[in-house]
Amino acid sequence: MTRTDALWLLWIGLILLLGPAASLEGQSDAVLDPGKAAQAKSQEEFDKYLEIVVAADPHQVIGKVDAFVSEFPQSELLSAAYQYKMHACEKLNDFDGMLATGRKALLGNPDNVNILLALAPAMASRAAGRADRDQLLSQAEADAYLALEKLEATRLSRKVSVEEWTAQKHQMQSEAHGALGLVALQKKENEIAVREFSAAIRLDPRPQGIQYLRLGMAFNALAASDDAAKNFRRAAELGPEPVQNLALKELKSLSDKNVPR
Amino acid sequence: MNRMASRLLSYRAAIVLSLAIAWVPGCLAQSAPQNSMELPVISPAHSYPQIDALVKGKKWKEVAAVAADLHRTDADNPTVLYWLGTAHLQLREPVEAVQAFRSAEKLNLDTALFHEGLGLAYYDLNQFRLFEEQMTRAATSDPRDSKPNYYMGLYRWSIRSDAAGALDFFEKAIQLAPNDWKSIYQSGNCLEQLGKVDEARGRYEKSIALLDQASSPYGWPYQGLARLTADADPQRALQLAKKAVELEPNEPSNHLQLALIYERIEKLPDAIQEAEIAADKNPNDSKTHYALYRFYREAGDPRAKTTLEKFEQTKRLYDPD
Repeated sequence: MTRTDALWLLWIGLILLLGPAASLEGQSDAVLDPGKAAQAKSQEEFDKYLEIVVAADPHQVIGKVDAFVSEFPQSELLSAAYQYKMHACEKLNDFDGMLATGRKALLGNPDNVNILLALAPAMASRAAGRADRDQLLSQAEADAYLALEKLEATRLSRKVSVEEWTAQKHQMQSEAHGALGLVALQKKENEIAVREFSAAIRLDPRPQGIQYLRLGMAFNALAASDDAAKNFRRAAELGPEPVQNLALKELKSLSDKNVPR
Repeated sequence: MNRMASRLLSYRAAIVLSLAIAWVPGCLAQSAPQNSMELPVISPAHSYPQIDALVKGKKWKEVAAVAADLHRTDADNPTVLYWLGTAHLQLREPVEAVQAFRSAEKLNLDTALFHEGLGLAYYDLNQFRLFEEQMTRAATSDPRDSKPNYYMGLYRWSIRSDAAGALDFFEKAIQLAPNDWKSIYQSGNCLEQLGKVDEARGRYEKSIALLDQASSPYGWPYQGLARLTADADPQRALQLAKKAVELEPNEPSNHLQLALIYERIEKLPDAIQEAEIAADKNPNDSKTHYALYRFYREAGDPRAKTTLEKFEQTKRLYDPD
């Protein structure tokens, strides 16, 4: 790896890690077939599961999930319990823990969009510089595409209105396209990255600064300076501060390039 | 049974609370009855006058707060935990409800009404195995209580789409409470689903006869009988469907049924008006949108196109494959 490549990776890595921490835990309520819900086999099993559900501290969640898995290894609720642990690991910035637990959660529930959309952006944003980078990017891409496919086939509870679902679906599609953009950016497939980041922004009801920063990066990589500058300016407006600082730095860099020497 | 539980049992009162449970229709040939489960509760009047007034006023947040306070000072009292659980259940906080009920159970509370409350909390969390367990225990605790069989029947029908299994439970409930118009109506609905139309008609008639005496705002048997009478006697069906709407004007399927009967007697503007009300009240029901589309098309109304789109969208999103 050349020094330029290493710096680029570092820079991209910094931007990737600034991603929005979307919480999708509540969204499973929208998709409902109660007849197929995982069933506890005993009251004691369900008591222990509810302890996980109400635990506030991520360390506590992890401890309770581990105890649950040990006590009820055949539980139908294992996948749901692992989801709680996955999010707890995410909160603790434990990517490897999140990944391992998310994979376990998917074993029992391979088409779960919430899990797929938690893992795909995490893998895409953490792959840079890792030995398993290519594998992570490939898996992130596969998970994001699977999530998009499953979202189209989703059946809803009648408690959720079409309007509510449309907003939620767009948010989730935005997450998936954002992850695909990150994958493409790291594979230097910059036209694809522009397309995916643009889709993520279009679908997000409240796009954030980081999304414009990423889109700006993708345009910059295509040497589309005007489009890049436009998106960096929007990122700087929306912030938050770390995004604003990076966006302003990018704008300065663009401006310096344009100064005749 | 401990002293407290025994006392609770003797205080059982006819306080009936409406509890909206998340019903999700299965593969039904008609609109699923969106019946609410009713939770009779243990009366707190004699032991806890401070809770009693709040319960009567259905002030569930306040009940929860008072019960939580009482629990802090009287931690070993299962009744207080029962009330905490009941309040959370009414507030649609089933996790907290289960936790409070379970604490009460560990303090040996073991009455039919308690098990019914805990069972319904499990139901709200889609824990049907535990729900069934609690209903069985409720029936064992009070073999004269028809409610566990009624709840089990609703579960078999609404979640499992098992009309024959549901019918068995409703029949048992009727044996225990022969004048329970809800169980009688539900048994009629199951019979109708099983193709036993004459028997279904008889059950609807009986339920209506009981309801007419009680003046209870329960429109389902009128709707059911209207549906079964529409071909043979549309004018009577019209009166029945209107009665269902009068009794439960907020139930969208009553308006849809009335719309279909207006269509049958060729009163298209009235059919459109009722179908529009039904669609407004239940915008996620594909069958309603389809009926409205047909009416608009027949009337040459340009809204037929967008209504057809709405039908296709709701069918895709909400109906089972």
